[in-house]
Amino acid sequence: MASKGNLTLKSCNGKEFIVEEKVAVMSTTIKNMVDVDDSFAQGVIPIIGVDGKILAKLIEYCKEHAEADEDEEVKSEEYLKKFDEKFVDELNLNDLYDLLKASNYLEITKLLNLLCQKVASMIKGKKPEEIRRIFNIKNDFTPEEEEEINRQNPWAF
Amino acid sequence: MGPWTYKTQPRVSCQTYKNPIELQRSPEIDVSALISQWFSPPQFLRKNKLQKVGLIEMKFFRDRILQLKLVYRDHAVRGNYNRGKEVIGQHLVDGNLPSSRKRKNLHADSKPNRVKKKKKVGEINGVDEGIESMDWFSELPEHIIHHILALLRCPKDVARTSVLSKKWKNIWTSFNTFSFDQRNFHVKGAPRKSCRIQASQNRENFVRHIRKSMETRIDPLHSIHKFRLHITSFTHKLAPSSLNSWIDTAVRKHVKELDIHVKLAGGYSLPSAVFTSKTITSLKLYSCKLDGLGAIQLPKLRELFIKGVHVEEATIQNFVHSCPLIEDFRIIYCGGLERLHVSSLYI
Repeated sequence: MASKGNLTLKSCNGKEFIVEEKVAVMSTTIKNMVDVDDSFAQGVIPIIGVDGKILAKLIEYCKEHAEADEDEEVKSEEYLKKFDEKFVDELNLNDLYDLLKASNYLEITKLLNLLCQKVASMIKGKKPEEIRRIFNIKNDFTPEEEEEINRQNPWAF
Repeated sequence: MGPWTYKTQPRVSCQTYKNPIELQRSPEIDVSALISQWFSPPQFLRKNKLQKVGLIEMKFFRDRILQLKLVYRDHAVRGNYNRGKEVIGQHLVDGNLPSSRKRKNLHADSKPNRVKKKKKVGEINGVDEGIESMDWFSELPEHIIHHILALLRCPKDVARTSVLSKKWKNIWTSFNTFSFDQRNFHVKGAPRKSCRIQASQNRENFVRHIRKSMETRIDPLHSIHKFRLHITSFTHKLAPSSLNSWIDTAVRKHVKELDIHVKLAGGYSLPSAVFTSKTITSLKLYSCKLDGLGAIQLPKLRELFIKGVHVEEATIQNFVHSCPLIEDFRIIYCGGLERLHVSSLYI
């Protein structure tokens, strides 16, 4: 049982995390749950479809940002920016994907934005073949179809 | 709450601000006193830099102003205005808005952040073999991929995703954010100013790109989310009448966010449909003409930024009274405003 002001989050593989409420409510989904039903605030909140590893990452992110929102002196914008950069740089493709899905489900807008920005930076300035290779996208066009699309937007290629 | 009034000298410019004023929260503010401290008499004026008054930011909640922020830009740190050096103070009027941090980054809107270092292929590591063969990104919800595409500022990058696979082509077809930025149509390696032929070629390409997108992409869509037009140099093909028809189309397609940046000698007047749109939630107008507007009726407008515009108090009052949902109103580096009277507002 979490003490007052703390919430317990449970990942889909059974790992429990006790976090401060201000950290947990960075997620709009959790905030709505807690606002609507008091029993969530006392009990355990199951986070469906998010495993322990990803949940730990999410909490790490939310903790830094919740603390920074509370006290700008200790955690300045500059600090947060560095933290964000390091946070996304350390992710492998698999984690990046899982975090994108999880932050979408939990509605952690800031994080979703950051991750989308990361993916965008991976696409930026690359040729289609390179993008396919990075994200393992299978090209299911016939050569003729591909040629046709290329012809439609000649300026892009 | 009593009315607040402040007076600035018309066309104040170019002072250097040295000592930030400590502001305290109070229900009543004496803006005129603040202004007289902030806006000292002009010390030096440079050509073409006369209208940089600063920024007035008003946050509304229902019918009340929550926050009034006055920002003044110092020309000495002109290049640095992304870093927020010019923020000299903010006055919280009636309570704290929940996310005041965000607003510090307000200039991020007006000046795109530098593109981060390009990541090299293969930088993402630690992917094991089993995962590597999976195409998971294509399985992301469409709105996330749209979000990612919207973050790609260069239209070429966006268009290139359409050839990745059939799935991505569909995503691209339904992508309803459009950004036409002339600055993206400078050919790499070509000197920006010296080569006239190249410049005119670039303009032609830009116009052709917009025309084609209007026909092949915007036309089939039922509604569009965002329409952005950034024009830096004109040709006969980029006449105001063409701009009008493109913007009219966007409004007809129920656009939600409209961002128009047009520098035209004498000022560009937007089509009147923009100001009576029932769907626009965010309106950003840079360097457009706002004098002599007709009826304004924007029932869904929440966000209004006007920048580098000659603006009169009556226009501002007109907007405030005609947009019942307005929450965020910023007047950025506008000239012509001598006096602004803000009462505890309407309804």
